[in-house]
Amino acid sequence: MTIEAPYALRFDRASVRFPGSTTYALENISLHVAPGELLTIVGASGSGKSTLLRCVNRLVELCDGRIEIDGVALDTFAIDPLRRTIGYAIQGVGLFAHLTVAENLALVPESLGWPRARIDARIDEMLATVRLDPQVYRRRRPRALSGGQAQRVGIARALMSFPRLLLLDEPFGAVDPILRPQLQAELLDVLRDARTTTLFVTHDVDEALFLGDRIAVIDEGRLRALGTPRALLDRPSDDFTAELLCGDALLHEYRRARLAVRERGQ
Amino acid sequence: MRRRTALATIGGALALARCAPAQSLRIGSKNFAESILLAELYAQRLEGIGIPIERRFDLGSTQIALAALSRGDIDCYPEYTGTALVDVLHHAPMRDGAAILALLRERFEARYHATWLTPAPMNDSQALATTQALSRRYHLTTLSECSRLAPRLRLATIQEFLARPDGLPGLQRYYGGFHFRSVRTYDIALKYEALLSGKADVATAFTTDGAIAAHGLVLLRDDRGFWPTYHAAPVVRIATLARYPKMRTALDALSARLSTAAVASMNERIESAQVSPASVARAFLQQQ
Amino acid sequence: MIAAILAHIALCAVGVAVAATIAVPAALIFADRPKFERSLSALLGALYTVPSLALLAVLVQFIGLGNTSVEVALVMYALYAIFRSTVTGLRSIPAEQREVAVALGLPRLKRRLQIDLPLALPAILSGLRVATLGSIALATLGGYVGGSGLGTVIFTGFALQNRTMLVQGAIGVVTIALLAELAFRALERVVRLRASG
Repeated sequence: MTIEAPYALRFDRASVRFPGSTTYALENISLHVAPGELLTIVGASGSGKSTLLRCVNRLVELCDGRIEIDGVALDTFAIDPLRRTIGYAIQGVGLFAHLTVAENLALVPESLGWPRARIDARIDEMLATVRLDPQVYRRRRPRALSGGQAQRVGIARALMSFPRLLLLDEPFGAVDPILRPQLQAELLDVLRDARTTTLFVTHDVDEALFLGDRIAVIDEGRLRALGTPRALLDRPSDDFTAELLCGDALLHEYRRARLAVRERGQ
Repeated sequence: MRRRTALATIGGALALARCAPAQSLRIGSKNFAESILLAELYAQRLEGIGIPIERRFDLGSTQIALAALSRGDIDCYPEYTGTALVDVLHHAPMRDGAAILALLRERFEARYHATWLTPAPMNDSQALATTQALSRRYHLTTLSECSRLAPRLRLATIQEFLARPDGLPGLQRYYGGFHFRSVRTYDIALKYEALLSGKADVATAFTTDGAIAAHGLVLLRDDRGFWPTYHAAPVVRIATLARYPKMRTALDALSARLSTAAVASMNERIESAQVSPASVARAFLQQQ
Repeated sequence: MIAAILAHIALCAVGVAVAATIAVPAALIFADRPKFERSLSALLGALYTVPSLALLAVLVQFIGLGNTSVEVALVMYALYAIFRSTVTGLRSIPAEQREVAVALGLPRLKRRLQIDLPLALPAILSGLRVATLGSIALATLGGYVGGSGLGTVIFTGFALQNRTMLVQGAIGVVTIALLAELAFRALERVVRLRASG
C-alpha cells in the first residue's frame, strides 16, 4: 500500500495536441510536485518541456487528462485570477520596456487590489531580495538593466504577490554563462526563503542537476524519467536519460562530483 | 486688437452654428466669380430697399447650395436655368424658355420649397471661341462650319468639357464631325492664352467670360441649337418671398438690366482688373 | 489672415481629437475581434473614399452650412487612418509580450490601457500624423460650406482669380502642415525615448 504524498501540483495523464497537428505535443504526462519542491524539467528544444509549463497557467489547454493545484482541478478556477496566483518568468523579453522596474513589479499586486503602500513596501523588499538596490533600480527602465539585472527583476516580479506556484521558462537562457552560476545560487537562496513550489524549464542539464530537488526528463512529449539528481545520475532508468545526463565517463564523473558538493552544502 | 479677432474666430470655428440675427435675409453664391457677382448684385439691391442681408458666398457646388437652400441656411442664391434643368433635374435639354421656367418653378417648389424669379436676358452658355483673324481666314462663324473644319483645327479646352455629355461628346453626336486635329486641356484661365499665343485655333468658352470682350474674340454661333440656355435668376425660398414681398419687383427690375454684354464686362473687371465683386456691383447699380 | 490660420488650426485640432477619441477606443475594443474589425475597417474605408464635395452636400442637408459640417467631414475622414494604425499597432506587438501580459493574469482593461496602448503608441502617432496632415488639406473644405479657415481665402481667391489670396492661402496651409510635421516629429522622439528608457 502506498500513501500519496501531499502535493501542490499534479499532472494526471495530461495530453496536449495542437490544432492541425496529428502528433501529441504532450502525451500522458503524470507527475506530482510536492509543496515547496523545485522540479526542473529538462529536454531538448521542441521536446514539449515549455508546453508542460504553459499548461499550468493555461496558456495551453489540455486535450485529455487533468491538472490539479492543491487537489483542485485547474479548470474550476476563473482563468485570470488563477494566473495572478502563479508567478511566471521567461527568457529575455518578459519585462515591459515602457514601464519602469517598479511599474513592472506592481502589475500583478495592482490587479489583486493591494493598497499602494503595501505594493511599494513589497517592491523594495523584493528588489532587496534579488540584490538590487531599490533606491537605484525602482525608476530604471528595462533597457537600462544588464541581462543579469533584468532576469533578477523578472524573478522578483514573478514572486511579488506570494504566488502559490512559480513557473520559470529558461529564465537564465539569455544570460552570460559566466554570470549564470551566481544567478542560479541566488535563485536557490530566494526560493529557500519563499518556499514556493517551482517548475523550472531548461535545456541545460547542469542547470537542471544543480537546481532541481527532482528532475523530469522530457522527450518527444513524453516523460522519460523522474527522480532526484542523485537517483538519475547513479541509476538512469533508460538509455535516453543515461545518454542525456551521464554523457561520457568524464562528464558523468564531473557531474556526480559537483552534485556531491551541492549535497554537502545543504 | 488683431489677437482678439483671432480668438473670436477660433471661438466661431468651435461654435456649433453661427446664427445671424433672425430677421436678416441670407444670400448664397457658388464658388465662381460670376455667381459671387450676381449674389452681390442681389444683396446690394435688396439692401437698397432696406432689407438686412447676410452673405454666405462661395458654396462649393450646386448640390451644397441647394442643400443649404432647402434647409433654410440660405434664403436665396443665383442659379442658371440650364444648370437646374440638366444637372439638377437631369432633364433633357429644352428650347422653350417659358416651358423651362414653368417646369423649374414646379419642381423647385416641391423639392426645395423655393421658386424662381424672372431670369435675366444674360445667357452664360457654353460656346466655342476663336480669334477674329482665324475666323476670317477659315470662314469660321458657326458650329456647323467648325464641325467640318475641325480636322484642321487645334482645340484648347478644360478637362470637364471632354467628359460632360453637353461637352465635346455631345457636340460630336449632335452636329457630327468635330474631330479636332488635336485637343489639349488647360487651366480655365490659360486656355485663352493658348488661343491668343497661337498654340490653339479654337477654345471652349462661356459666353459671359470677360476675356471675350477684352480680346475681341469671336463666339461661334450655335446654329442648330445644341446648347441649352443658361439664364441667371434668383432662386428664393417661398417663405422668404412671403416675408419680403418687395424683393420680387426689386430683383426682377435688376435682372432685366443684366444683358450678356453687361455681365461679361463686369466679369472682365473682376478677373482681369482684380476689382472686388462688391465694387463692381456697386458701380453697376449706381449707373441707372 | 492670422485669424483664418488660427481658425484652420482649430478646425483640424478638434476634428483629429474627436476622431481619435472615437477611433482609438474602438480599435482597442475590436482589434482582437477580427470579424467586427474587418467590417468596421470596410465601413470606415468606404467613408474615406466618398468624394468630399458629395459628402459635404449630404452633410449640409442634415447639419447645415458652417463649421459643424466641416468638422463632421474631417472626423469621418480621420477615423480611418487612426483606426487602422491603432489596429496595426496593436497587432504588431510581439506575441511574447502579449503572452506575458496574459500569463500575469492582468485584467483585460488594465492590459489594454497599461500594456497594449503604450506599446502601440508609435503606430497610433503615425496614424494621427497622417490624419492631421490630411485634415489640414481637407479643412480647406470649410470654404465650400460657409465655414472658416484658409479655405475661405483659397476658394475666394480661386473664384476671383486673385493670385494674392491664392498664394496667401497656400502659404498658410503649408505653414500649418510644416508646424504639424515638426510637432509630430518632436512627439515621436519623446515616445521613442520613453519606450527605450
